[in-house]
This record gives sequence, C-alpha cells and structure tokens, in this order.
Amino acid sequence: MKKLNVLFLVSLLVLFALTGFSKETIKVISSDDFAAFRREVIPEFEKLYPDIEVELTSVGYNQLYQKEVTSLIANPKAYDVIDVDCIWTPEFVTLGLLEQIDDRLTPEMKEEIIPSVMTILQYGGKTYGLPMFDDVLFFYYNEKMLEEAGLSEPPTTYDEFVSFSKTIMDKGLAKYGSVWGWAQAEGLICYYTQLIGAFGGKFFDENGYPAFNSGGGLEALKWMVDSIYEYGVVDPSSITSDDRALLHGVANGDVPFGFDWSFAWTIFNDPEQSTQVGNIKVGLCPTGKDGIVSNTSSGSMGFAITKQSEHKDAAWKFISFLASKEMQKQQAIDYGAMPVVESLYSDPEILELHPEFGPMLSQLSYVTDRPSLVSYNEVSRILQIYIQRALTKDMEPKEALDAAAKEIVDLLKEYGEIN
Amino acid sequence: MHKKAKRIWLYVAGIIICIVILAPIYWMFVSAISPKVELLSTPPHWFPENPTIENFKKLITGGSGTSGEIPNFAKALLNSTGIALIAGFISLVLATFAGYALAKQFKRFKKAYLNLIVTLRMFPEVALALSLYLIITKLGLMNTWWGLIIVYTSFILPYSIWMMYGYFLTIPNELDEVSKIDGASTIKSFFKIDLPLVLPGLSTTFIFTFLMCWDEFFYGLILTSDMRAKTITVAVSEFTTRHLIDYSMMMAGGLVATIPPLIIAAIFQKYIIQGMTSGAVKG
Amino acid sequence: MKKKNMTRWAMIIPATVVLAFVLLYPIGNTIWLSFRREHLLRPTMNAFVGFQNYSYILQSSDFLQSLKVTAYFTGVSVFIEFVIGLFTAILLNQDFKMKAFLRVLVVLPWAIPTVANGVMWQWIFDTNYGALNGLLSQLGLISEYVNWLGTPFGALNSVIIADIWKNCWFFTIVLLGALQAIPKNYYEAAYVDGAGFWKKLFKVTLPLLKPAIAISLVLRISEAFKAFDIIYIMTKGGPANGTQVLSYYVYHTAFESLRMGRGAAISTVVTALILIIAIIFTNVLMREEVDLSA
Repeated sequence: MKKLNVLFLVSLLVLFALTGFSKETIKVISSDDFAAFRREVIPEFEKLYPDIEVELTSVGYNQLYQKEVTSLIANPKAYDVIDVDCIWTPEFVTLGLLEQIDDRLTPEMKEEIIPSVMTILQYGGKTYGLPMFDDVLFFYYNEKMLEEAGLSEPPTTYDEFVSFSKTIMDKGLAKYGSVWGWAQAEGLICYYTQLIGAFGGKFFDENGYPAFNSGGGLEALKWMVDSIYEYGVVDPSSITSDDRALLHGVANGDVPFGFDWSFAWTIFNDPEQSTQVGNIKVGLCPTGKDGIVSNTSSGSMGFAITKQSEHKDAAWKFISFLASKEMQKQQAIDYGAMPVVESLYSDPEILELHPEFGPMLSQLSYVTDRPSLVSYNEVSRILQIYIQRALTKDMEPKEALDAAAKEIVDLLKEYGEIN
Repeated sequence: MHKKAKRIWLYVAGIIICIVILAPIYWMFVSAISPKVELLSTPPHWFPENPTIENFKKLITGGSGTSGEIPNFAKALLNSTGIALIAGFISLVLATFAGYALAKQFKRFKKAYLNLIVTLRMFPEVALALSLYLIITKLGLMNTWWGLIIVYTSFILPYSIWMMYGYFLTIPNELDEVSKIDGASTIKSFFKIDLPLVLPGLSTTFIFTFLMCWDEFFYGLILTSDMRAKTITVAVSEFTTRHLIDYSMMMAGGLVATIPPLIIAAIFQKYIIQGMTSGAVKG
Repeated sequence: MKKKNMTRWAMIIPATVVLAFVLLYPIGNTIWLSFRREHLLRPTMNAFVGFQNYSYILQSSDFLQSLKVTAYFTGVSVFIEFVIGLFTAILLNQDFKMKAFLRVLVVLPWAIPTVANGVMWQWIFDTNYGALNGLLSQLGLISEYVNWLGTPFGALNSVIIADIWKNCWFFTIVLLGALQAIPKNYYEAAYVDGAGFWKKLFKVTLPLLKPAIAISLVLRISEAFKAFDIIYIMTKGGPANGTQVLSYYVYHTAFESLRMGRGAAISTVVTALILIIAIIFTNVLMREEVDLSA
C-alpha cells in the first residue's frame, strides 16, 4: 500500500516535470493601450494551448519603439512577439527584425480581415504580422454641453469648431473649447496628419520631397497656432499635453471637444475616472476645406513575430488567437476597439452594446495615414520640434515648416530614400 | 531690544524654511490619498475630504487599470534595495583596501591616483552610458541585477575610495608605527588597528552609496526592460509617462520611492551630513 | 620591505582593475566611437569618419541651443542654490530653538530621489489642476491659470525651481559644516570693530569659507551640467526643445535615434566642457589654499 503511494507520487512528479519541460514560453511586448485586454485573455489562450505559456510585458506607447529596437539589437531573441505601429513597418522590415507570415495566413483570415487594415503590416508586397485593431483619432464631443449652449449638432467644419467653442465659452459652460495632445511626441504628428488632410494638404510629393510647407500643410499649422492665440478656443496646455493627458479635460467636463483614440471612450464612461459618463458622443471629425467631408489620422497597430524567435509556431498561435473573430468581438465590446474583422461591423450584439460604434464606423472612410518611410522615426522627430516652435511662437508657421522640410531632405538624402 | 528683533527674524526665517520644504511634500502626500475626482477639482482641495489608501494597495498588488498596467512596485523596491546593497558592499570592500593603501602605504604615486579619481568623478554619465550599454549587451547582462551592479560601481567606487582614503588619513601614523614595532604585518595592523577606527566612516560611506544607487535613474532607464531588474526610479518614471491620466496614482508612486531614503536620511542624518561635508570640505 | 610592497599592491590592484573596467575603458571606447559613424540600426553604414561627427555637432543649431539651455540651467540654478544655501547656513549657525529641527529638515529634500522630485513638481506646475495655479488664484495673484510648462523659457525656469528646491540644501549643509569650524574669536574681532552683517559676511565669513565654497560649487556645477533625470521626467526636452540640455541631447541622439558615433562625440565635448569648468574653478577659487587630493 505504502509502496503504491510512493510510486504514485513519483509518477505524478515525473509527469509534472515533463509537462513543465515541454511548456513553451513566448515573450510578448505590448503597448499599454489594450494590454489590459490582452492580459485578461491570456488564461483563455493557455487553456486552449496548455503547452504554451505567455509572458506579457507592456510599456507606454511613447517608450515602445525604443524599448523594442534596443532590446532586439541587444538580444535578437528578447521577444517572440512585438507590437508594431503602422509607421514602423518599413523600418523594422528593412532592419530584418520581422518574420514574414504570408505562408501562415489561412484563407479565412484573408477573407475576414479588412484588406486596408492588413496593409499596416505589409511592406514590399509581403505581410509581416496581423493587425489587432483598426484605430483612428475620433471626434468626441460633450452632447450635454452642446445642448445647454443651444447647439443641436456638433461642428462639421473647423470654422464651426471655433465658433461653437466660442459660444460654449461665452455661456460660461467651459474654459476652453478643446484640448489637444500637441506635446513633443508622436501624437503631435497624428493630430497634424488629421488637420493636414482636412485642409487638403500632403506630406510629400510624388518624388518623395516634402510638400507640407505649403498649401494645406501650412494652413493646418496656421490654424493650430491661431486656435490658441488668435481665436483663444484651444487650451494652451495642449502644447504640453499628449493624447493621454487631454483625456482629463474632456472626462472632467472642462472642455466640450477632444480628439482621441478608441480606448478613450471607455475612460469617458468609467465613473471612477470621469464625471461625464453618458454625455460624450462621437461625431465626424470636422473639415477645413470645401470638397473634403472629414479627415482623421490612422493609428492602427498589430502584432508581428520576430525573425530570430525560437517559438514562431507558438507565437503565431497567439497572434492569430487575438485576431480571431471571437477575441476581436470581445475587445470591441469590453474595450471599445474597432475590430479588424469585417463581418463584426454588422454584428448586432456589438452594435447594441457599444452605442458609439455606428458613428465611429463612419469615420473610418475618412482617414489619412502618416507617411511611410524607412527613417520615419527621425523624420517625425524633426517635424515635432518645428511644429512646436511654431506653437510656442518661437517661429512663424511658414518659417518653421520650411526649416523642417530642409532638414528632412538632408536626412532622406543621407539614407538614400530620395536622390 | 536689538537682540529681540533679531530673534524674531530668526524664527520668521526658520518658519519660512519649514513651509518651503514641507509644503510640496505635504501636497504630494495629500494628492496620493485623494480620490481622483477630488484631485481635479478647482480650487484644489488642500485637505482631502475622502482620503483613501486605495492607490497604495494597487501599487503593492500590481495589476492593470483602464489607463494601463500598474508596475509591480514591490518587485521594483526589492530590485533597488538588492542592487544598492550589493553594489555598495562590493565597492566598500574594494575601497577600504584601496583607501588604506593610498593613505598609509603609498607616497609618491598616490597624488596622481587621487587626481585621476577626482577627474573620473566629473565624467558625465552620458559619456559612459554608450560604452557601458555596449559592454553590458556583450556580456549578456542586459536587464539583470548584475548588469546594474557593475555599472553602479562606476560612480560609487571612486566616491568610496575617496571617502575611505580620507578616513584612514585621520588615523595618526604613530598608531601604525606602534603595531609595526610589535612586529605585526601590514595586513595584521590593518585589521587590528586601522579598520576598527574607521568603522563610523564605513557606515557613512555605505549609507551614502546606498542613497546614490537608490537615486540613480539614467542607467536603469537604458539597461532594464522589465520587472526582472527595473529599479524603483524607472518604475516611477514609466508610471508617469503612462498614467498622466491618474495623478493621484503617480503621487502614490513617487511617495513610495521617496519614503525609504527619507527614513534613512532622518535616522542617519548625522552620517549623511558628515558624508556631504567630508566629501566636499575635507576632500 | 618587500612583503609590505606586495601587500600594498594587493590592496590597491582589485579596485584599480574594476575602475579600469567600468570607467577607463568605457571613456576610451566613447572617445574612439566619436570618430566613427556608428548607427545601431544601420550597421552597413558604420565606418571611421575622423572629425566628421565633431564638425557636424559644432555646426548644428541643436547643439548650440542645448549648450545655451545647459549653461542657463547650470548658471541660474547653482547661483540661486548657493545664495539660499549660504544664508540658510548662516541662519542655522545661530543659537535658537528651531535650529536642531531645521538641521534635520534640510536633509530631507536632498534625500528625495530626483525622479520623485520631478514627478512632484510636474504635478504642482500642472496648468489646469496644479497646486501652484490653484494657490496663486486663491490668493488673487493671478486671474487666469498660467501654463508654466507651456513655453520653452517658462518650462526651463520651472525645472530650475524644482532643481533648486531639492539641491540648495546641499550648500546649506556643506557651508554650515565649514562655518562651525570657524573659531568664534574671528567674529569677536569684527564685532569690536562694530562691523555690520554685510561687512562681516564679506570680510570674515566668505574669505574663510572659500575652500568649502569652491569645492561645493565645483561639485554642484558639474552635477547640474550633467542634469538629465529632472528634464526627462518633467519636460522630455520640450516644448520645442526649450529644455533640451546637453545630456538629454546625447540621450536622444544615442538612444532614441541610435546614432552612437554622433552621441559619443557630443558626450566627449560635454566632458571636455565639464573638465574645463572644474579646472578653472579650482584654479581661480582655490589657488594653493586647498589641494584637491590632500
């Protein structure tokens, strides 16, 4: 009897040891934005694949690029799955950091995932990962404040945006019309992209030379500067706020308007973080030019497998799990993210549980992407600084953009991206 | 009369200093225990109406909120403490021997050596950081305690040698002579005579290097990537960049990083003042 | 004799080897890197380029701007810290009841980690919900909230205030230590002469404090010149690069743009500047009075 017990125990231990050894661990680095959701569903994934363990690290978006690049240079096996913003794809592919996954794509995926979203992880005609959400900057407005000011509809043009802001400010309902995330960070370029498209401008011409320093690009920056100093409808703290900090103003009912990503909606409706639960609605981003209906900037991200990963199959299982229809649905309902699966856009359950899904959907037809460049990161940094110089009245808008254009040309020439 | 006026001015100045020092710390504390909605009120609530320790609970247990992950502060505190203790101890051992040798055993060569150390202390971290980053990467010590311990030695070892040298110098040479006459070897007189006399100096140096390591941020920022080695200062900084939405949580994080050195400073105040003054005045 | 020789070498070599490994080698390596194009992301472009990195930064407006910002930050913050430190040291050297308590108190800000200090002040300076604007408007001193961190110059001064709050007490402690070492009869002579406060300060106190002042200034200046943490936390170099000190410029170049060669060249220049300042200060202020190594 005793012997049997011992035998049983030993075999149990051996079994434990075996399962322990055969467990594969994949290391994933994720941006904060939907990390909570990802962490939440890991147990479900591990139940589905008991031999895979997921180790998730998350960092703030503004540290993500640097953390991924420096970690992978130091140790190419540091992560198996990395979170990739659409603007990083050309550089990461050129550096040979990402594994091509065209052969792994199933026919269902090719059919289900929206083709335009799929492109964020494509470069040179090949695919390097799966998109995780279809995100753009949405126009959030405080319906209650508009009503109190006697306005029935949100503004559709930037002129209206200014005059509506003034109306609401004059009635003492708010200190400012809006607060933006124009701090020296990537978010500034997203807002600039939103405005450049709305004013009919372009970042680069057909030959790859800067075109933002005239036409719509210049008008967009002039409007940004004027909205603070001339019209006085934008909170000057926008210069030091990023796309997270501006959430305060809207959630606290200090301003009626704000532009932010899809996750913001969850925060505006969380009673612990917001005094305006139920008041914030989504409208189409305004336009700055006749003939343009609306425009916003895209900010979709996806997961890719690293080239040197030793657990590519397990990594693939994890990212295809997150891109699956069920997970995308859960992510949309619980965290307000726009799914990458086409059929979910007519899913009655989502439409019912996520009231702003309809208006958000209409925005997706009016989107401008940030430029696609191998040296995007450095180009973006130059633009950020010169836009900020105009915003702090250190330089005139034209002067600032011309100087930025000149530096960007030098940089692109150095890297051979233009001749 | 004149004397009395002077006394009043002394107290006025003293009270101003108290306010200047304590007001920001008080505000950090109040913010950390205020619920978020109360924190965003205008004018500010100088006294919280519904104080809560919820933030500290969240910091210790970790987890995630809608505005992002809350780093595991308990682990970050452990990392900072462990790294500071080990790096401080290693530096202290090396520096005690070196300081003794410089103070008592070398004559000609010591001036050049000490000048070199003073010069090296002036080098900015950024000048070293690039190369240290490449070395630590090559050694495979990225994101480990040992990686940071090695790097922290670069700024606490010169300091420790400097301090220990100064302490050994205060021991009268006659004492060493006496033990030499007794026939004791250098090593023996070092352990028997000199070492016991510099014990207070050892404590001062150790406390000081501990605080220097605790305060360190730049190397932690570039040499760690997750909770395996992330120090408390890095945890706090990340926290602020991602939790801009949640100031009260930020303040709670800042406070957690502040309390240990604050307690050490209050308890060992004498040692710290001594460390600062002898580092600058005697040195 | 021989044995003693062996022992002393055995005592000093371990520390020396470690110093060589963690300090001398990295410094040498940084200088070597500064003559190379070394781009972490584009290894194919790496090559020896002579003084190209140096000529690039000396012509770059970013470098000049960072140098100005650093000089302003260092000059203003250290000067104010010194003045506050000197007067509080004199205050704490007087006999009154609060003395003991204040001496403990002044150690506290110094012990707060720079990062936590930055977080604290960033929140105090916050435009819409910060304590400073709240307080000033309650007192009726401002009618509209000020965007302290919203202009390059305002942000730089705000960071300086945060730095002063933490570091001026260093001077208090060091100078107080030196003051206590001044024998009382020095003052008695001046008292008999009927010298006033200012005369005593300039004629007696300052000359006697000279060595302590010199060393504490050199230490603080070289530290302020290297400042990084407080900038990273409070402003990230913004707005419009208005608070981008040299250290932050190196960080951005080497660890964000990953141009290691150029970053190494900037840090070599920064190091040279710090050494020059240190040498000037030690020579001008100290002359033969204090030997740095004795």
